Amino acid sequence: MIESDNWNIKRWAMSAIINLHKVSKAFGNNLILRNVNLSIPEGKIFGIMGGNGSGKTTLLRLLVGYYKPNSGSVLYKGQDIRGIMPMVRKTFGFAAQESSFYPELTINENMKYFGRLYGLSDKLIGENMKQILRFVSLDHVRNRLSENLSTGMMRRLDIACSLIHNPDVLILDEPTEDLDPLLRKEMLDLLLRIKAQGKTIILTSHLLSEVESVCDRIALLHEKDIIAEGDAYELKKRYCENEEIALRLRSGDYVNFLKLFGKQGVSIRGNKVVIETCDANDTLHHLLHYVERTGDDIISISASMPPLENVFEKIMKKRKND
Amino acid sequence: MIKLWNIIQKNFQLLVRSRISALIVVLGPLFIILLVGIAFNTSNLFDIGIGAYSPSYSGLSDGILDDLSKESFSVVKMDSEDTCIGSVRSGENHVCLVFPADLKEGSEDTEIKFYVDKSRLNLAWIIIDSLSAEVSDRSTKLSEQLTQVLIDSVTMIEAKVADRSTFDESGVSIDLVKSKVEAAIAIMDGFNLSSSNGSLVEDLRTKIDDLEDDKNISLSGLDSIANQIELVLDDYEKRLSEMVLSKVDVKEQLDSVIGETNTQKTKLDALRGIFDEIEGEISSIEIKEAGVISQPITTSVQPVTTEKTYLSYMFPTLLVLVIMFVGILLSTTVVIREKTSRAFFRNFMAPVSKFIYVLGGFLTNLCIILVQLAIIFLVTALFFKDEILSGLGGVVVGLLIVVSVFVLLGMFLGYVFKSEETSIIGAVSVACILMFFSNTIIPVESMPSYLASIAMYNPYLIAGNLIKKLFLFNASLSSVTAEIYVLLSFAAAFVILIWGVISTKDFSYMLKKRKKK
Repeated sequence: MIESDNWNIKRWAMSAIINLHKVSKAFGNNLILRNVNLSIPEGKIFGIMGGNGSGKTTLLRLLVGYYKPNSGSVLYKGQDIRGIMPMVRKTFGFAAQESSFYPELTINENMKYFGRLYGLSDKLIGENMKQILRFVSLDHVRNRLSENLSTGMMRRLDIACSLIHNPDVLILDEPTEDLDPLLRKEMLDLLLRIKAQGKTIILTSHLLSEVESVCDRIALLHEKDIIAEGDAYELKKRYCENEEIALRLRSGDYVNFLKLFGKQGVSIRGNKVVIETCDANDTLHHLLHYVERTGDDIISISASMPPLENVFEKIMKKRKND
Repeated sequence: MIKLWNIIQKNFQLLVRSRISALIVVLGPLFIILLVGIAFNTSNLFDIGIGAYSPSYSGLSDGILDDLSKESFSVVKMDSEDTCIGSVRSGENHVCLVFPADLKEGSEDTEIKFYVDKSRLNLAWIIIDSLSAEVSDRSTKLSEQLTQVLIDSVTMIEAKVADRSTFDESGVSIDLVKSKVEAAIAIMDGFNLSSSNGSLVEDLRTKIDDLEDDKNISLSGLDSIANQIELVLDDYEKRLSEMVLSKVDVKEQLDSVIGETNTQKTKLDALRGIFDEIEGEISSIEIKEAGVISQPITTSVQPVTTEKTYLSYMFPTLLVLVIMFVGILLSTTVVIREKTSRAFFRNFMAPVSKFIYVLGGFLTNLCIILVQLAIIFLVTALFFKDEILSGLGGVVVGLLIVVSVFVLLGMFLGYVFKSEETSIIGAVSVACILMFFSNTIIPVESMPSYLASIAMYNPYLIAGNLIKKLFLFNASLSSVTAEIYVLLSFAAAFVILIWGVISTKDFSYMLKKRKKK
């Protein structure tokens, strides 16, 4: 498995725009990251997943040169970013976990201010602003004070500010944090639209299932280390041999399923019963036969790969056992 | 340059948007200046309460109290000395004056006691100074009155002594008498009856004898006439003889008078000499004014500038005080607000040098304070236009340097401290330390020498001296180069410190702190 990981890293490193090589970061005696290796491909959405305090934000700040690593190096297009900070600043856009703009200024004023900081002409700022605000659906409130925006609008303004100088790499720290489900969906759609413009997006989140849907590649960060990296399918295949069959019955009575398949591998999630199996076809056949016998009605039935949470759990268990 | 202007413009936009901050920052100092201006735009002391006690008031003590009342002091006579002193302790009165019983000039006890609450240091000295001046004036007037009496007497004597016409008249009279006596003597000496008159009488006799020989005339008649004439002549001759005898006596007497007169004249001449000497002595007294004699050496406090109100004297100090507090607090606040701002990280991410941010912050603060100063000067010009306009060029340069120093100090504090709260406390503390170790509260010279030698390099003290010299004395910039160089050194030191802090300090804690919020 380790060999496979190394192979993958080498493969991705070939097309990577950003590479982290044995990067460690500590604040005093508090080690946050240990020998992190990471390769981020160009033009993709790269998700860094991990629990609270796992070091995601620290990793992002290392990526933009805000922190200096204690050891190792962060390379952008093969060059150490500490040596090319002016270029990195012009090429990277960063939206921090908390909105990073002046609440006392209007959307227009914020965009103009940050645009000028990037040395853009007023004409170019105007053009970019028009396009970006329409893109993030804020053009209708462009003269509103930023402090009067809703949470979702603030998050979108933050991204808009990050895009004002048309960066190649957009880094987003917990972009869906504090957003309601609707706004989360809007945000994820926005990320896909940005990606469609050919930009590289690096984002962090601890909400695995949501980010899974937009990230081309995912790194799992846990206790100072990257414990897994790959696309979602790869990870699931690598760490979860079983598939999941989710069944919803009209009666909602799933007690017999526990007797039939045993407690191991069967779980009730809401109004569905989920059965993990290494042979989905055989299990499905058994299930349908059983339901037919009981005379119950099937509302829905589906077979799928397990969610990333399961992958995460499996990896944790494996690390514990190792 | 565009980026710098952009940062300054943004800072002003933020200031304007936060209306309360704008009001506090811009109008706060103006309000302070206005209040202080109203309070100190006078050279008088108002409503200073004076308690007074004397076992027995005299005209003099009442007079002093009347004078004090006329000078806007509130004078209250107390029942006892203890009550009077107690009123000072309780704050009812600012000072207690205790007069001796029956105070009058020349009496044994003329000491007037002042009881002052010295814990109110500045006020105590102002009151002591003011009351001492009042009482001293009164004392001087008394002394002048007494001396004037003496002077008047001496002047009168001088006038009398100078008036020697009597002596002159006496002298003239004596000389006249003397001359007349001498003339009489001369006349009497002129009488020579013994020789010439005697021959005449003899001739007369001869003629009479001839007549007797003339026959045409009755002889008897003629004889009778002749006899009568002879008798007369005999009598005359007899009298003349007596006269001759008297003449000798008169001459002896007149010689005696002349001798005596000469003696008196000599004495009068001697007396004249004495009077001349007295007159010379009195004339040699050049000072004949009682005020000068009673106080041969006088002292008076003369301002080195034209007479002004407290405000005009205080204006430079007040100005520097406001600049110091506003400069430090405003700069600290602007820096810390920028550091704790949501946009801090995005600013970091922008391709802008830290130097531009620091310069932008510095110029923003500088502009705000200069605008405040311009308004203050415009308002102040209404009160003392001439003083402001006379040395405006030098004052502007001085103020630019002073503002720069305190703004840079404030920015340094802003970069050093982590939170808004601690930075404000730190800024106020530093400003207070600078104020306490200056001449604002107590003179630096009254501090222990080692502290005084340190305090002499207090930028607030130096700035105060600089502006005072430029504003009050219209000093040229070349005459205050020492102060300017020291202040510029401070400014350079603060720039180096700021650069040191922002180059070495990791500001990431600002983001963590904000996250917790």
